Amino acid sequence: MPLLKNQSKQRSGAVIVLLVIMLPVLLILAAYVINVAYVEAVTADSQVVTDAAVCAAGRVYIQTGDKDAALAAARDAAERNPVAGQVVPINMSDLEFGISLRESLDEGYSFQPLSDDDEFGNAVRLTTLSLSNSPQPVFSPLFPTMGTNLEIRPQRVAVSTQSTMDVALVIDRSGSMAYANDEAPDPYVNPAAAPPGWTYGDPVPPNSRWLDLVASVNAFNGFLADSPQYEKLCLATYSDNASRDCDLTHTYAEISNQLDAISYQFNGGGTSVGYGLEHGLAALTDATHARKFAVRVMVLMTDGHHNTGKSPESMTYHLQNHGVTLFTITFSDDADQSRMSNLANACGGENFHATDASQLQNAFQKIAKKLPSLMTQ
Amino acid sequence: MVTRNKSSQRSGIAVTELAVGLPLLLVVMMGTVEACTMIRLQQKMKMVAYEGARVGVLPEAKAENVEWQCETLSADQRLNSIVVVMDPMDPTSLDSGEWFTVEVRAPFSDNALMGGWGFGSYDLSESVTLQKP
Repeated sequence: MPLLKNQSKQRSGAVIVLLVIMLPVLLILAAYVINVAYVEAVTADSQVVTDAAVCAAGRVYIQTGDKDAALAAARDAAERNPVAGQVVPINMSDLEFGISLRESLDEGYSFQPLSDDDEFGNAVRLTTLSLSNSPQPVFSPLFPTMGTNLEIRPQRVAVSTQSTMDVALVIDRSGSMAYANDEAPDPYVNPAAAPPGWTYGDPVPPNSRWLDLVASVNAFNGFLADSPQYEKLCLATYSDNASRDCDLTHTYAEISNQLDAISYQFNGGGTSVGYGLEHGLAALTDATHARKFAVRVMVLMTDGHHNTGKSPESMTYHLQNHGVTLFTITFSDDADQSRMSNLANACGGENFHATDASQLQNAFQKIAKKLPSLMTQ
Repeated sequence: MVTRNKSSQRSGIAVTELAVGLPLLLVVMMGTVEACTMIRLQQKMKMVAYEGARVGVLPEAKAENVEWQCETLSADQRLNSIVVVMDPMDPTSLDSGEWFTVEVRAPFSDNALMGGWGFGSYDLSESVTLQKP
């Protein structure tokens, strides 16, 4: 019986003893679970900051080529997006500047740091090394880890690729461009605005489609110059034949000067869209001036019907093969909208139709706004 | 009789011990669940704000595009009663280089597993700021 009494007394406090032992264990487990959830959240937030920072850095870098300015932009983005109340540290060692390319449209972009031969890149890669390797962890777990080595050191990576364009302007300088946009071209009647005795080879008459086009191209160039990207432009013009008037350049004034030279001596002629495309493609793929990471875009403008030389459709394969996106602009109701639209669609682009100078300028601006910028990792 | 008295005393003690211990266990368990739910909820809201901001800095993006993106993602993530606040309110006014902020707010009680037990009407807020390319 005494033995039974003792056992009964022991059992009477068993649950309390169990609680006293188990409660700290449960609390430790709860703290561990919450800490793990917190680590996951901090890691996800760090990726958001990395993305925001690399976008800002990439934008500045592609605009200016200034690595210090890119770092400042990345830090600015990080300060605007604190994680758990802390600013993610970003240093120059976290940033890599390089070229991001893809071999084909169905492949992802691959980042390569700039080599000694590369003067300028189109991409920035940010790896949060300063965050992951800082002497003291930037983030602390919400609860003590009871001696467990739980340090929050997320290492995130993001690449911002600024897809910049090499653009070929392929411009119609056929005889009909000397006429006003509301005037039917007639080879036996001079343009209404032409001075008496005017002939082809003289300065183009005022109020002509050509001058409307020159104004629109200048506005297009201005739009590209104001954009954050760093586009190159080249110029090819065509009538019976075609010419490569300006190689790919950042100096857009060269394009304007060439157009002014044509305005001063406007020779007219037929309309060979095929030759124009051929010369535009040659200018766009000239390895001396073209950038291998740039998106190739061609803007073809015509006010009439193709009537001489190789057919535009015969160039479709070559444009596709070189990855050129073709935008076409048909100016005036005389233009062959259907054919130009089919041509643009075959090369991944779009046709814009304009009947006056204002619409022509809008068409160029719509094309200029179609410049993509990508987050490639 | 002595044995019966001792037995009833023991069962009384056990009930008392349970009355003290069970609430403690429940508090720990529910607190853990609610804390994890809150962390996860904030993470979801951050992603919604991020995707909204990404849409807002696209060319010609409008406020309704941002709202649609945030609301669609919130519905997918089962987020309730969210409020989307943009700064500036109209992203079409953004010029290149300017910053665009999307803030997502939601009351925890409407999104908690246990009705916001222990946190009451606590409001959560997450924001993301991106630069217009």
